[in-house]
Amino acid sequence: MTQKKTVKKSAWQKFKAGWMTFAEKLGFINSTVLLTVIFIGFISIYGIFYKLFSLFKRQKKTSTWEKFSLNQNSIEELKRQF
Amino acid sequence: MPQSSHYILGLSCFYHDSAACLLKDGEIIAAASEERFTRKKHDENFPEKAINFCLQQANITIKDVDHICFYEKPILKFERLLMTYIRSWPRGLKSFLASMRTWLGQKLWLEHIIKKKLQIKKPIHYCPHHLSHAASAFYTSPFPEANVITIDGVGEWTTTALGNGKNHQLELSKEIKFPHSLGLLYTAFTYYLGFKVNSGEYKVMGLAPYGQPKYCDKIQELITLFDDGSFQLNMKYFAYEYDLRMINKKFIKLFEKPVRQPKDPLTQFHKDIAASLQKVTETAILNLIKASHRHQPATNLCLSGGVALNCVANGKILKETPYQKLYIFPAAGDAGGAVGAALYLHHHILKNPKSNKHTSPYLGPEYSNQEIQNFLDTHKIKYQEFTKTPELAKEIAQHLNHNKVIGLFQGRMEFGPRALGNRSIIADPRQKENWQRVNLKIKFRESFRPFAPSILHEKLTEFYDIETESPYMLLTAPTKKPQDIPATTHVDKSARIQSVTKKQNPTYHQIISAFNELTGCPVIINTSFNVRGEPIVCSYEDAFKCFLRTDMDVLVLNNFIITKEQNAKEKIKENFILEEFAAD
Repeated sequence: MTQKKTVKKSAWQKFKAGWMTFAEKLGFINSTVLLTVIFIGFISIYGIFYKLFSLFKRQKKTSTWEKFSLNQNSIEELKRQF
Repeated sequence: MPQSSHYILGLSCFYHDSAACLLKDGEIIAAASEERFTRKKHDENFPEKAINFCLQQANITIKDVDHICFYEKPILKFERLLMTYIRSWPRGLKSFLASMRTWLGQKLWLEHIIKKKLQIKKPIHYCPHHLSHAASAFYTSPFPEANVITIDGVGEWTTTALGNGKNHQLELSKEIKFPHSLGLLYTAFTYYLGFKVNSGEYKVMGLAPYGQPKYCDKIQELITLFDDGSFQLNMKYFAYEYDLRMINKKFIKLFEKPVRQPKDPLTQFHKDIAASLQKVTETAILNLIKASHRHQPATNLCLSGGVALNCVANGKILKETPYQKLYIFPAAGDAGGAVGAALYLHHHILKNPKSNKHTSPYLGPEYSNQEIQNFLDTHKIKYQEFTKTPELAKEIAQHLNHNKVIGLFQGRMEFGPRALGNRSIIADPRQKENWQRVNLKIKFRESFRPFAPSILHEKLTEFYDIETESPYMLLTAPTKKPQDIPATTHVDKSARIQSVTKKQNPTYHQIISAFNELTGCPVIINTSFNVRGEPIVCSYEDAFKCFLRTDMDVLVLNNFIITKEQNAKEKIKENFILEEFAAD
């Protein structure tokens, strides 16, 4: 009886492991497709506009310093993730 | 009724070197990197074990913690990634797919993950990455007022920042933004020279003295230094904005040699490249530091961020810039961000006064003699017990004098990448062959890697040309007597020094003093207690396994001395599972 139960559990575990491997691969394919669509649909559109605008902005830099804008002054500011 | 204590937990994780730190009423009572507990080098996962250690150290539960502060602002980092992909379009799809999987699956849900793991409902605080670095340096320094500079790979948008700290207040005034980064420039060359990114940078620094700076002109093609201390990278040679690689074909064409593979031999070309990179990096750092002094004159300087671990450059700061005092936090990399985030909240936001005491680097776990004795007895390991430290120190000195290599495990573990005498491998520096012996037979690492000396603070200037103490092994200086201590003198006659005071580490000071009394040499070799690819040992069991895995002769576990001679190695080995660590 115990032996039978062990065999059953083992078969379930094998199925589960197989399903997880399949699901992982399917997830990888799905995410590749979805993220590629996002890259083409979102990044590309903004990318094109960025390239167009940056054509007019190019000038030789003499410094790369910028004002630091993230100093925090209250606990409320510190709660923000941005 | 006594007022209850105020606790702040600082966290850094999900990039590399995750860590936790606990403050009790503003004092750091515990800090540790997760890698030490999980035995996975540079572990980036949620620091569950490090947090548990911190809470146990304070004898509290997570419910007693008043604030939790994370070391960066994740949404700003996500914004930087998206903006960089837009800027790099039409390139970047491969990198976009890889990074978005991690972000959408984990990093965007950071608050939820932290709350779930800790089973809490209170809000999480987020300290900007470079403020975390700056705070870790300024608030642990002995200075009431100082200029603060952070130089890193990248955190949110910032790669370099400068500002000023005064009493409890800390403000950064200027920043250089991604992609212009000294840290990423160094990392790009680390990749080109065949070492692991975000891990092997210190190997490039160790390789540099073997070469000649022949390629500075070519490296200057990659970076422009401006008079105001800022710099700009020539991004046409780099790929890290849009690819999983650091550099592109133009970079390889510029240097006319392909990327070195980890198993390939290191040629003179690689050594010359390392030397050239080190020279250009030093010029850029010193240019930046001099400019910071012109921007806001000050006596004291605090330095932090991954680039602050470049001890060769650090060693030149006091000689070549107007600053008179320098402080570098021992965990200057991302692990130290956990400490900085907690300290920033405590001092700057909650307006608690700054203490001007030196912060101890010994913030990790320690183990009692009873625990160790039980372990040794259980495994039938033969040992000698010393109840008095002077006797223990004398015995260790005798072993060193007999040219034995010793694993030294005592007291609280160090926080930061350097072993400072509590989790160290020590040996006699007078024997030149110890350089190769410890590298190849004990550490199983590259033969070119140098060893650091630990020296009695009282004898520091007798042996080294240095104007300040170097308690955290973060400064390099020329050796005055290279012939006396050849195993700790690099090929360019320099050394990365740890000066040891009685106050900082009394037992370690006593060991070096005993060696000095016996031999007249106040210096010993000090290298981290681990093998290549392994995190530094944390527990006595890790230490004992490392002892078995290598040709180390003697192991000191607190008050106990264990020798290979007394214990049949193979027989004891059967009782332990000795993990293999992938070479880094």
